[in-house]
Amino acid sequence: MSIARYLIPLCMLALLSACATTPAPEPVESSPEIATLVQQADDARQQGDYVRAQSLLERALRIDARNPRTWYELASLKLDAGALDSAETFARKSLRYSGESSREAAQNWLLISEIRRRLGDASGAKAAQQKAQAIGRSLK
Amino acid sequence: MARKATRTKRKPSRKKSKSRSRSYKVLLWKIGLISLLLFSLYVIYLDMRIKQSFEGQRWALPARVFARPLELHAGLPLSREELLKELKLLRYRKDAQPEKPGSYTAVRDGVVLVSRGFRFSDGEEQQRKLRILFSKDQVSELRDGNGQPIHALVRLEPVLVANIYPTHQEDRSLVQLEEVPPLLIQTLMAIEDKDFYGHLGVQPTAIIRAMLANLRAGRAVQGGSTLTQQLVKNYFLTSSRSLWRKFNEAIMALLLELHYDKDEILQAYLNEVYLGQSGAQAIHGFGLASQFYFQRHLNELQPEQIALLVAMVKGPSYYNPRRQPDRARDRRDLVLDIMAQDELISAQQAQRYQARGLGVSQKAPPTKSPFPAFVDLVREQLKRDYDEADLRSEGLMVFTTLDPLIQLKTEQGVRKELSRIEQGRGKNRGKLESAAVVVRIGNGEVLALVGGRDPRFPGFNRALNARRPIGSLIKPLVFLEALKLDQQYTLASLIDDGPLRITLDDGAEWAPANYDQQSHGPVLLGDALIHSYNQATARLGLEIGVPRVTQALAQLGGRTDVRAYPSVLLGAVDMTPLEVARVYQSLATEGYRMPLRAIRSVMDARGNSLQQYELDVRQVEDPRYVFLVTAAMHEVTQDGTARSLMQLLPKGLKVAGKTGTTNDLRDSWFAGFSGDYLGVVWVGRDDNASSGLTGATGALPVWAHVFRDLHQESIELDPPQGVEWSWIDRSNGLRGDKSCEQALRIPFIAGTVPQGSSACTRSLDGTVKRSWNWLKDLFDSE
Repeated sequence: MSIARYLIPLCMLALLSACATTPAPEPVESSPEIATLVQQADDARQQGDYVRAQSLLERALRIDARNPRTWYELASLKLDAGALDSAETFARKSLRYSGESSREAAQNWLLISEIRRRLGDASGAKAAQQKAQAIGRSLK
Repeated sequence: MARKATRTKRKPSRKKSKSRSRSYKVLLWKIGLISLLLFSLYVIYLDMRIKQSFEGQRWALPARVFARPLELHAGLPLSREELLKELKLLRYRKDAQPEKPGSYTAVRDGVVLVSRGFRFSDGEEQQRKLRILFSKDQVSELRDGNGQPIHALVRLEPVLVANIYPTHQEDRSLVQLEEVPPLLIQTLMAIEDKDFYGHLGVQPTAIIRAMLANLRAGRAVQGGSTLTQQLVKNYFLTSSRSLWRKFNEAIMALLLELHYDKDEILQAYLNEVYLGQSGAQAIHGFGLASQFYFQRHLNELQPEQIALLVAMVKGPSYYNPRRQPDRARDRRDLVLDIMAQDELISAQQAQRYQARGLGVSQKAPPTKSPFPAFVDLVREQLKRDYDEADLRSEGLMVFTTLDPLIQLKTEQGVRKELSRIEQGRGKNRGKLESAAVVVRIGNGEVLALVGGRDPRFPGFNRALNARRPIGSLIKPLVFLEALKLDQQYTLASLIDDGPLRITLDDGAEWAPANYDQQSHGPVLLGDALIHSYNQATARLGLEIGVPRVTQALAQLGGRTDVRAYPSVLLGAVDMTPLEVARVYQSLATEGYRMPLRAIRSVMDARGNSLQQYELDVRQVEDPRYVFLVTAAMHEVTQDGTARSLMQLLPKGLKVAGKTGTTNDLRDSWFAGFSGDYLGVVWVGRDDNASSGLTGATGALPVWAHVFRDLHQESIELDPPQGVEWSWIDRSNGLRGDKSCEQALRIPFIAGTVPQGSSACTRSLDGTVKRSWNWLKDLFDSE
């Protein structure tokens, strides 16, 4: 019968569609203004002026609150300043916008790993590092 | 004998006179020395006073409160109209060929302007010419005066929204000598003190000349005072022109010249000279006078305006250009003549300028802030770090988060919607009140704060201080807590919306009823939130325990002192709109709590950064659970109690929110957010009588009025890791698909999607029909 003839290819199709994954997120490109602000923030950080660095990054956030790079830089700044809880929070914010399997995500997990190491959470640091490595492998 | 007697007689008399004259001399010397001593002491006293005045006055400056500066860049969501509005608030002047700072012109699809420049705490923004082009409500291009594209952020000056005055209501707009137009200085000297740089502080020849002129005229017609003397006079402003006063002033003038150089004295003069009155507030200094009369900076003044200011030095009340325009104009023209005489301007120019009007604005600019409700919040936040005295006298520059465009839009929303509502329903005429808060979700900045229907009036600030029961606004927290028990509850779990009657601890009965007085039987947990069913929510809340809900309230940034009574589940909790905003901000950020800031930074009068109020973020909730609640709150706006938003907002904009209505319709709330902004609105009556309004008919339209014009993205519907979407049959909470009649896509914590499929997906006919269509499409495409 007509139904039976189509049944097998239909089942295969059903299986295939179940395996479909969402497309990988586009690599994040920052506008030149954000890139400038991030650069200036980095300069300020090198000079030890954390307050100015934060102020510049907050201006970048006002342009685009979903830019994972900006959140990552804030996390990194907080790490330098020794504000470890804030650093992890900002890294998680960055993860939310970086997609799960991007280079930015891997960087965030590495950062989180470092933060946890400094907090004395050795197992947590290892777990984060493994996550970063897994993403790294999947990118290749 | 006789001769001997005479001689003897004379001797003593000469001796006496000699000694008498000697004693007179001695006495005179003594008196002289004592006088000199007294005089010296007096001079030292005057010296102290004048030095104190000269150096002390500099610090009695009000704190200045600024709105956020517009940060221009290509890609900034901003319309041309909005930029023009901002320029109007900044008092820019229309000019076909803008060259002077503070001028602009509209061009095709854009604006050309010359900014004024501003010193921010983290850098100086230079004044520059800018060409800004727009395309589709966005800045498409930003170019400089030479047409080169600018790739950095350009900040315009921030709008000044308030001055926090010293108690004696004084103010200055301080100018440095270098910033003052040379023409002003030259004119001032030509009129008031030709030989300023030459004399010692007092000019005896000028005094004599003036005395003679006054004697001849029979009254005071000439000054004879140097600028230095006038400066002293301004420090101790008194109407008494007695000789004693003048004597004191003369001495102090000499002392000033002794201590300070000409330029310092001139600068002080330019900032001290009394030039008018605005109610209780004295206008001192050319900088402030320029703002007061012309609404311009000194360097934006035309020559005839400069002439008018100098003309007023002689008597600002007598020559008040608003009250005595003819007198003012005559004296201004006289000054222009003298300017021509002294070749500061040409004779033709003098004629041309004399033909011009005074150029003075009709009304004096208001001294009170146009945004008193927002300033209340600023002061509250400043109080934590600065005491009142410093605030009023140190000339602090406070940079806030206020967005004047959004603020005005919010005020308009309140005004228009309340009028409209009152026209429809007679009983509320004139009685409705409202409060609103708008926050930028990304960083917790308060962009707008409206404390009442009449925003200019600094009365009761309802946004900060009116605590009202929040009603159904609490419900998302009940559902959040339930969903955290993810093995027990999902958005598709069936819960009972049947009648509920419980006995409270004190023996009283509690039987909450649904708004529509109906019971809906078993409903999806998500639907109970979407349609705000009281019975189902109360039952659910009691099952999970009221303390969970009060803890969630505290955790998200709300009140920490709420007792865990069952009535809390339906919102018998009094909160202010700002407090509600704190809670909903934590939801809008997917579980990150951050303080709601009204201030970005504080700078001192000299430009040194004193404090930065930094972004501070703390994760307080698992984003997965917050996402589930947000998805349900999105449905509230599509299908639930806030579905009227579908007609009020731009197509395609996805938002999430919750209506709140209290018993007897006394309070109408709406708390809602897009991808970028959060707004909380309350509508009600100050007398607490019923307004007859629900959250949807009162607060929601106000909210929509603001949000329909904001430049924003939709809420994030791409879930965080660990959440997956699934089609659900709404009638039974089982898995379904698109073809089911009552299907809805619902998010679930990974692994909690219901196992069973609904009957609507199992129909074989359906399966065959669908697969046939697929095959058909496959062949058709070839």
